[in-house]
Amino acid sequence: MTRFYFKNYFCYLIVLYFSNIATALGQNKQNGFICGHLKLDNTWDSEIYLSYIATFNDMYVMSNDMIISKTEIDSLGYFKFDLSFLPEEENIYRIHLIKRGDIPATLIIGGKDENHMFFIANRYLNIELKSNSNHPPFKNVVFIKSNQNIAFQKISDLVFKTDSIASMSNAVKRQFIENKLQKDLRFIADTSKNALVSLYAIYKSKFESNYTSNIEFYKTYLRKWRFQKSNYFISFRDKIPIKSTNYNFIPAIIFAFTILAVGFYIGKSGVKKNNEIEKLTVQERKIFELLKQGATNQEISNLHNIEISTVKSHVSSILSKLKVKSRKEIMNIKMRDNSAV
Amino acid sequence: MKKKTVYLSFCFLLLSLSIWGQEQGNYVSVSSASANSETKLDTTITLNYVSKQEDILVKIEKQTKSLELMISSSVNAGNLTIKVYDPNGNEEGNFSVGSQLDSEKSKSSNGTICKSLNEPQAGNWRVKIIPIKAKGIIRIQTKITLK
Repeated sequence: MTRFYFKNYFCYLIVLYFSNIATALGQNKQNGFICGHLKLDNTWDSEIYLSYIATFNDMYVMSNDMIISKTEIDSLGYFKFDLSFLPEEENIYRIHLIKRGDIPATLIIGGKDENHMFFIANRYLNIELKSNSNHPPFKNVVFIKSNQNIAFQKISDLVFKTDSIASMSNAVKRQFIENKLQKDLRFIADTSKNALVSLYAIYKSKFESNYTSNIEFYKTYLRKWRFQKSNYFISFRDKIPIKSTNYNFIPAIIFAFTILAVGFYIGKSGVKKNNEIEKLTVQERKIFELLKQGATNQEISNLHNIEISTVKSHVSSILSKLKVKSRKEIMNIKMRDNSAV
Repeated sequence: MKKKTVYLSFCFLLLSLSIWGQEQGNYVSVSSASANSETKLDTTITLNYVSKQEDILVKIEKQTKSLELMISSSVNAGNLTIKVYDPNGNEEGNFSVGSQLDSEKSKSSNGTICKSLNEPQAGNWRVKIIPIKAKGIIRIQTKITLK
């Protein structure tokens, strides 16, 4: 009897274990969504639109093709998008509202009616946000879940607050504030672990107007994210004239090996010839030196005060020892150093 | 009775004069501000497929207190990009709108950019208009307030 209960208890534990694993797997792969609450007055339409942003250069581009979904905002300001149709990898998306009577593809940048915000999503992310402002409706948005979006929104908030202060300041002070903002954004970009958050900070820092004075930073940045192959980084690399140090080493290696091989062959043949020169007698070396200079048999005969036949005999011996066929080849032999002769 | 009527008439006259005076004062003040320290410009550009790239310059004097710039556009064919540059050539904002189908309201695109600055940098602010086979309209509104 005890054995029966033990067996049942054991089976129960196994079922429970597998059930927990299945639940955990299901949770990890559950469908993504973005939901939230907005404070809207009656000037806004009750529909909200979701657009795919293919690169950071397209953040302020609007066309109907970019809109991939729309949903209703209820009377209390709540909305929810199903994101299960999105790709697995993280991308940038935009949600926007429209004023009553406006067409869906309407983008308003700046001012109290700014109608959009950006976020990171994929098909698994659960994103929840809350806005604490009426004008503009996406000012002071707080993400409740999703760490990458919390970091993303911190950048948006920083830029928004700084721009607001800068717009109220005079030109000199505004320049100072903007420089500080750019520096802060580069720091965020440098320390962020999420590639899209990091690149968002770079784009918000208006990198195109300051990369020349921060070339070292951008070189390091490009090196750090050199393995990022997303459209966001490809378009960024196209925009910035500094190239990363991610060179293709293969042609360089082949070239280096070719040079080495040629050098080795030349060196080896030179050493071989030099070794053979050492086999020459003292008299032959003297004649060899003259042959190298292009001297004729008669000239060698006159210089060394020997018979022409002797000269011919020496020349023949030199050609044989050096394994060369003509006097011209002797002239082409390169010496390791002069002392060898 | 007569005294009371005279008194009431006097009060009515006084009240009327007071109200009339207030209205005249507000009007003069607004009118004066409008005439002397505030300049409003409103330009509309029509794009008709073959429109070329062009720059609209907004001249800002040194004594400018504030600049409000609003550029809005509606495109129902082609693409349009608008860029705003300060006198140093720094880009201050941009947007692009595009539409693939012609004459279909539901497929049009609208874009608006608003820029508001205190003591803007003096010089020529440039609004760059880059249409590509675009059909639509652009409206540029500026409000410049002098010190």
